[in-house]
Amino acid sequence: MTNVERFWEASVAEAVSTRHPPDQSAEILARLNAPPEPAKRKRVVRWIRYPVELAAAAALIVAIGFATGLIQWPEETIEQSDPERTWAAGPGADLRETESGLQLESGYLLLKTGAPDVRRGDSLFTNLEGVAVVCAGDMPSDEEHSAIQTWLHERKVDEAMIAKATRWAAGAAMCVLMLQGTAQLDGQEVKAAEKTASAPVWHEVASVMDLDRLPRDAKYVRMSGMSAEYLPVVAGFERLEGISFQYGKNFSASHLDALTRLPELRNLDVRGGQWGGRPDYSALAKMKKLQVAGLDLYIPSGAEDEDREAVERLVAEQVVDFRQIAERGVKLNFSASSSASPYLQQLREAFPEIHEMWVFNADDDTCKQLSQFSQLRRLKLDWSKAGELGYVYISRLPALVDLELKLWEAMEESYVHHLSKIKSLRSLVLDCVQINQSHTYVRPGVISVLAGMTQLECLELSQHYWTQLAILDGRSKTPFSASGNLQSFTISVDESPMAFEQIPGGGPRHPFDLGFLVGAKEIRILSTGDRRFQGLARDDVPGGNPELAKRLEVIRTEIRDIRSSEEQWQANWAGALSRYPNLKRVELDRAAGGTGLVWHGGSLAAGVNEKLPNVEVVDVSAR
Amino acid sequence: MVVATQTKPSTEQIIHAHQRDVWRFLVALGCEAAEADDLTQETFLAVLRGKFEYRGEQETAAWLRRSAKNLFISSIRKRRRASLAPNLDDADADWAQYQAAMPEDERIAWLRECVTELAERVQLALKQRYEDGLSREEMATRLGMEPSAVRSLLERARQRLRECVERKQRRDER
Repeated sequence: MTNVERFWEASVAEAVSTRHPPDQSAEILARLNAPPEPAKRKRVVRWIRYPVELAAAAALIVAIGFATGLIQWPEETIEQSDPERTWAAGPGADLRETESGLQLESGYLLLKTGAPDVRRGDSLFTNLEGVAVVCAGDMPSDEEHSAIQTWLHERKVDEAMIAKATRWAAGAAMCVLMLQGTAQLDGQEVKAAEKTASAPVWHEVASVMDLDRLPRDAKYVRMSGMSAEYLPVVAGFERLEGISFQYGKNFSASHLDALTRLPELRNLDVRGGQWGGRPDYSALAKMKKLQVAGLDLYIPSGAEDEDREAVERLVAEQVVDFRQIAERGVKLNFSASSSASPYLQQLREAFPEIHEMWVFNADDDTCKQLSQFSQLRRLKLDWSKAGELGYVYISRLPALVDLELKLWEAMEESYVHHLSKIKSLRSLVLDCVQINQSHTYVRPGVISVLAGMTQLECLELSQHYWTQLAILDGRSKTPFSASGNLQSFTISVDESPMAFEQIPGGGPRHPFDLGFLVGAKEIRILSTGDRRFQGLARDDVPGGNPELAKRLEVIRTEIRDIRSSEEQWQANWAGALSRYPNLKRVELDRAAGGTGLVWHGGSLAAGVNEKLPNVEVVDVSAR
Repeated sequence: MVVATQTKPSTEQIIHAHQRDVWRFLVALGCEAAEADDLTQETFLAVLRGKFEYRGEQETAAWLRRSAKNLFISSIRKRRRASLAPNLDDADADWAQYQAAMPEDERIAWLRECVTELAERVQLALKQRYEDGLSREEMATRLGMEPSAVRSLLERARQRLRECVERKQRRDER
C-alpha cells in the first residue's frame, strides 16, 4: 500500500466514523504557557483522554456513588502528586498559569482535587476537594450550560455526575458548578448537590380497582392504555404532582382540561394517546406549575401518500404550539411514529436540546434521523422494526444514557454489539412481548455481550416465556462477573404455564435463584404469579456463581396475588433468602392488575423477618 | 525571502491553523486516536519551544509534519512495535502533495456525501471496518460473505468513493 492509498483510507475512515481531529488548542497553549516539563512528566488532561480507562473508572465510581449517594472520583486514575493532571481547559479558554495558580480570563475549566487555585478579578476558587467546573464571568445561560455538559460528555466525565450537577454558584468574577465534593469560592463554601432526593413513588394503576385503592395523598400515578375518561377521576386527587398517562384511549381536549384542577401538577406525560386527529394541548397553558410534559408529534395516518408540503406545514404549526409551551419553562419530551421520520429534522431544529424521545415502529431511517439528536439522553423505541443498520445509527448518539427497546423480533447478537459501544449508556431495557416459545428471545451470545457491557448500571430483560432466557439455562455458566458494575437487574415475567422444572439444564427453581446468575446489587422481579415463589430454591443453582450472590443487597418483587398458605411462603422465603450473605432488604409489592383476592404481604414480611432478623422484609404495597 | 512579506501569526493562530492537519497526518501514519492526541500536543510543544521561525504557512506545516513524524517514529521505537506505515521516509512529502490536491476538510465533506450515495450494505460494511474496527473475518461472518468478498467489497467501495469525490471536485471547479 502506498502512502497515498493509506492517506485515502484514513480519509474514508474519518468520513464514515465518529473519529475526528479534536480541538486541542487550549491544552497546547496551556502547556506552552506552563513551566517546562520534567522529561518524564505526564501530560495535561491525559486522564481525560483515555476512554477505556475512564469508562472503567467511571463505572466503579457509579457503583460507589449509587450506594452512598456521593459519586467518588476515580482516584486510581489521577495521581495527586501530579498537579498538571488535575485540571483541563475548555475549548477556547483563555488562561495562564502563574506561581499562585491559574489566572482565568475567559472560558471554563474542569478541575479536581489537587488542582491549583483559580483566580479571576476579585474572585478566588480554592480548597477543592472533589470535582468542579469553573467558568469565567456570570452564570452560563442554558445554552452555555448545555455546551459545557456536552464538553464534559466528550471528556468522558461520568454521566451521573454531570446529570446531578445543575446549580451554579456565582462569585464576584466567576462561577462554579460543583460536580462532587466541596470547595471555596470567594471565601464561601460551595458543595455538590447532596444525595438526590429519594425517587418519587409512582402508583401503578392498571384497573378501576387500582384506582379505588389509590391513596388520597398520592403524588405520582402511572396509568397505561386506559381510557382518557379516567382523567377527570384522577383529577380528584388534588396532591398529584406527576401523571404518566401513556397510550391513553379516546383523548379529547376536555380530558386534559380536567387536569387543570390539579394545583401541584408538575409532570404530565400523555404520549402515545389516541386523539382521533391532531392532539389539542391548549389545556397545558393553564397548568401553572407544569415543568415537564411528554407530547406527541402528530402525523396523519397515510401521511406518506399526502402532499409533503402539507405535512411539513402541519409539523410547523405543531412546533409553534410546542414552542409556546416551552417558552413558559416547560421541558418537552416527544414521541412520534416512524411516519414522522422525514419531519424529525424539523423538530430537532426547533428543539436542538431535546433530551428524551419515544418513537413507535422505528425503522432504520428513523434511527438515522434520531442519530442526529446529539443531546438525546433517553430513547425509547416501541415496536422497533430497526435492523442492524438502525442500531449502528443509535450507537452514534454521544450522550445516550437510557435506552429502552420494545421489539417485534428477537434481539440479535450483532445488534447488541453495536449498542455495547455506547459508552455513556447506563440503563438498557430489552422488552420483547411478542416472542413465543418457538423463538429464542435472548440468545447466549446476546447475554454474553450484555454481561460485557460494564458501563451498564441497570439492565432489564422483559419477556413472556423465561424458559428461553439463556441465563436461566443451567447448561451453561453465567457470563456475568462478580466484578461487574451492575446495580440493578430487572426481569419481568408474565404468567406462563411453564414451570421452573422445565428450564433447560435443570436451571433455577425459584426467582430468588437469580442472585446466583447476575452480579447485581438489586434484583427486581416484576409481575409474577405466586406459583413462581412456591418452589424450593436451590443451593447449587446450575451455571450460577456464589460470588455473584455476595453482591446482592436488595430484592424488590411484585406479585399479582397470594393464595398460598402463609406458613408455606414464610418457610420457602426464609430458606431462599438465607443464601445471600449481604442481603439487607426485600420489598414486597402488589403488581398492578393484581386481583387482590388474598393479599397478606404484611404477615409474610413479619414471618420472614422473624426467621431472618438481619434482612428487612417490607410490604410496600400500601404506600 | 518570503518571510519578509509575511505577517507573523500569533502562537494561538498557528496552533489553531495546523493542529487538525497534524492530527490527521499522525492518524494516517497509523496512530490510534488517543496517541494522535498526545503526539499532536508534543509536536507543537517541540516546535514552538524550539528554534521555530515562522516562514509562511506551508513551511510551518512541513516543519510540524516532520516533527510529528519523528515523534511517531520515536514512539514506535519506544514501544518496540512494527511500523504501520512502511514508507515513512516520504510520508510528509506525500502528505503535502495529497493535501495540495484537495484540502482535507473538503475531501472529508465530499466523502460524507458520497458515502450516503452508496448502497446501505456497503455503508454498513464501511462502518464495520472503520468505526467498529472489525476484521475482514468478523465482517464476513456478520455480512454472510467470504473474507475475500469483503475485501473486494471494501476495495470497490473505496474506488467508488474516490471517483465520486473526484467527480464532485471537477463539478465544483467548473
